[in-house]
Amino acid sequence: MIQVNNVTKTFDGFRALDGLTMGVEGGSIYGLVGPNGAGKSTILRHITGIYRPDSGSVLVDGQPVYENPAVKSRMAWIPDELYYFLSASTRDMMKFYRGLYPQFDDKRYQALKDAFPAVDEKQPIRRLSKGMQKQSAFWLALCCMPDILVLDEPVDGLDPVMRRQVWSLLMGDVSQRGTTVLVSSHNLRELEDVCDHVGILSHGKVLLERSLTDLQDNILKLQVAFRDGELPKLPESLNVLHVTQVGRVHTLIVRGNPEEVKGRIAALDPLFFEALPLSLEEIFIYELGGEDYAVRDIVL
Amino acid sequence: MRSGTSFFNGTLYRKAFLRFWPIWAIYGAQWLLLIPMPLLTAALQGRNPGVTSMDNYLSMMAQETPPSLLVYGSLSAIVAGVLCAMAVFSYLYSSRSVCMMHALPLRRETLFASHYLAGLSFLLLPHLAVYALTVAVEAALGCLALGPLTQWLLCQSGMCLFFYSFAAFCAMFTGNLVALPVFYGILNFLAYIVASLVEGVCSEFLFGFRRLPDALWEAVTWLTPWLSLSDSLHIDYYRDSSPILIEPSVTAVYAVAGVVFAVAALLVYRVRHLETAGDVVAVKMVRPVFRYGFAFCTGLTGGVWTAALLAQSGTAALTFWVVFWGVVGCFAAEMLLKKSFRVWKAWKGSVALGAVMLLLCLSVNLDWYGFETRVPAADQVSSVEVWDLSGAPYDDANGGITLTDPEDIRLVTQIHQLATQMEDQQYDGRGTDGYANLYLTYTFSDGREMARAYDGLPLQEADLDTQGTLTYLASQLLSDRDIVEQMYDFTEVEEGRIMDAYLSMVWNTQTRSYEDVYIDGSVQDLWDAMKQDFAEGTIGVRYLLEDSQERQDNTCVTDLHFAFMDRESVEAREEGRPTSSYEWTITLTPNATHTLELLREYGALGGVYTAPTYGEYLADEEARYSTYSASGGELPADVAYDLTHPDGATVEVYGVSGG
Repeated sequence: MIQVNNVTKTFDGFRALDGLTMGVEGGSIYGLVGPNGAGKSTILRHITGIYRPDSGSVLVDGQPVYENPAVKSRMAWIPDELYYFLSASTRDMMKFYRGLYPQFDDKRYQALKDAFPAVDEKQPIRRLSKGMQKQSAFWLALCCMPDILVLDEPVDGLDPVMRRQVWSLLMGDVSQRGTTVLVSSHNLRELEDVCDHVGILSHGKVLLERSLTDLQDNILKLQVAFRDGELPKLPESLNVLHVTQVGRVHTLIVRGNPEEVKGRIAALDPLFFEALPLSLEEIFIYELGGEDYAVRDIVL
Repeated sequence: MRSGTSFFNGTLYRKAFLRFWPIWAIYGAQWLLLIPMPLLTAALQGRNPGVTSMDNYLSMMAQETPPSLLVYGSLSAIVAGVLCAMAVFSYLYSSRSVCMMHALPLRRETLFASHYLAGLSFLLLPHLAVYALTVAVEAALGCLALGPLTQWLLCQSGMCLFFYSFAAFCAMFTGNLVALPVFYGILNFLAYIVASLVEGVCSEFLFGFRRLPDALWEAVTWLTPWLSLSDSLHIDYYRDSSPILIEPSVTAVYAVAGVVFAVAALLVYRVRHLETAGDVVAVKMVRPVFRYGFAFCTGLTGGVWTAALLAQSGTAALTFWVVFWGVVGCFAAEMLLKKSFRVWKAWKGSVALGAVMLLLCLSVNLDWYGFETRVPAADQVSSVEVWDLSGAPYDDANGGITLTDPEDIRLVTQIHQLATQMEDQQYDGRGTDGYANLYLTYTFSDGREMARAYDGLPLQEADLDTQGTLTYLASQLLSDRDIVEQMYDFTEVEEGRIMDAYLSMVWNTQTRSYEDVYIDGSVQDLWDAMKQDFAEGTIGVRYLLEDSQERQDNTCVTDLHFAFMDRESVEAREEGRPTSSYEWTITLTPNATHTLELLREYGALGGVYTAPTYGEYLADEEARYSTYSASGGELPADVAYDLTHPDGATVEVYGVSGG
């Protein structure tokens, strides 16, 4: 549904996007993760048609997004930093969006009042708390009946109950209307629960892009101990991302087919070994470790 | 399904119009208070200055008020224009609002047109409302004057269209809300400021530089819209009690320019990078223009002002300050562009700019372009206008003359040639007998013009008979009676109708004071007598050296003034329309026998009235001074006033030590 092809973008000599290519399937929830400054917000602004790429293309169903109202009318965006007109209330903004989005649903607006009971629709949005402003944004975005929902740090500022409420509404739209959700977040634990696809960005490029299942199936954590306590020489074909040792137990992060990896480790005749699944957060950390982005031991 | 691809979006327009209601409300209220309200209150309160009936007074107000407010209206338009642009395009100046607005399903054309029209409505709708309300008030009061009111509506709307569109154009080049009014203000007056600075610097550097060409100044006026508009919208005169403006059609030209600016603004908006929100200059290709243009203007402004503030004369100081401020300006521009004080990397550009400015200053100062030495060949000149070489006495021969005779032109070019060699011989009051100013404007056969100005060229009395000297050549020019006749401009003066005459600075031997004496007799006869004397060369003689004995002995301190009604006024008076007049003056001489005889016959001279010579006047003044000086008292105010020449020039008085 969304296809980003070799997009580059430079800001005053700084290359924010460096030939970025990614694809988002229709009806999926795609999680975009990456370190600070990787280019997540920048690519979202290209996908929503705000920025014009220096080169490359951003297509939705084969149509370019930039300066294309027909495509953009099917898309709603909640940025990390919200903007509303000064003194505008949720109701004022509803009237504004109603005049701009052809599919805007008044009935849904009324129906969603109950989902966001803390938001006073007549109160100026700037007087609401950060969390309530976010709720107002979700309320309005969902009423635009978008086919594509682009979210940048969407639940930042929401309390746990409201996070669940928002995700529930989003999942409902995905399942009932086939809405495509593209979400950028640092909350990997939460993304792991909702995303079916994940893309990891680093230095303006997509480092890897897979379904969450594929991603988790392709990397595993092994805890292994050998009789003499030392880690023997590992086969060169084994793609070891990270090694740590606590006592006689070695922890290996290995990329590859789990069964093949287990077989090769077993061939080394360990005292014992155990294969554990990796969380998205661990995958993120170990994958980016190879990109020279890892937690460093700093002596203060 | 509503389309999001049209050129105009009603929701966006309405939102912008309603969001910024205070702007149009205040703007409209201003015009309500200025146009219909005074009329209404005058009628309701019966307030009438009492010179005419209430109906006439209201009618006069209805006729005069709207056009007379247009000069104020130009100021109002220049301010309101930028305020409206700042309001409706404010979404371009923060990253949040930029992202929100441009994520909407609208093309940039739609965003621009909807906001642009909303801003324009802030100005035009109040005009229409005020117009309609004023028509209603005037109709109700029976003083409906649609013409002046419609003229106000069209002119004010035209001005607003221009200034607002220009502000919208400026808005597209910046990503910073504060920078917008600054850019707008500077660009509105940039042409005038730069031309004035260049003229100031050239005056300092180039000997003989007079001014930039008139055609350039005309272009500068056009490029300074407020100047041009406010000049054109002054009331010129009244016809049938209706005010007639100087040139209201100028507004139409600027209105068309406004439309062009609006289209240009849209084109810039289409290519604008939105990530530049917050930047001082938002369009990449304009940044070098801004950097070096800013530096150039800072160099000129800072150079001229610093040299003036430190009272440093001379081209070396000016050159230093121009280069210094140019370099500072380059760094300052870089700071604005980078939004940082750490801009040392810009040293290369700054040094290059400094070098270019130094080169420019040197090239002008060393006259690489041959400006100072250029004297046109006489045979290429079709006419030359000469100003300020008329010498003494100071009467109406002091205007300019246009010489077309080849011999006269050759004489002027010879004088000019000598003047170009006198840069280091400026008059300083010592070792010279006087000075001359020389302002020349040549018109070449191909229509080109060349202007030069020389002040304080030293003159020597001993050179009066020495061929090839400036004093000799200039006195040759002034002794040509045809040229002097042209200086007095008899032909044009006589086109009017002679009305009356009087003498000024006539010495009353009884009251021992100078008086004006009006002529009681045939003024035409007096004019004819003066003309006869002029033809005989006994009046209207010019003296190059102001204090020469010849001048002191052969000119009086008394002036003869004639009043004329101009040619158009002669007809106007017959039709009962307002008239205008002018005065023409010539200094009396003791040798103007025909004129003096008639003046004595009329009683204007003779008896207690005498016309002292200039020499007698100076001697008398000196004597009075000596008296006060000897008594050790302070100079009375009236005597101090008499210290000045009757024509305004200072008279040198010797031996006055102030006690």
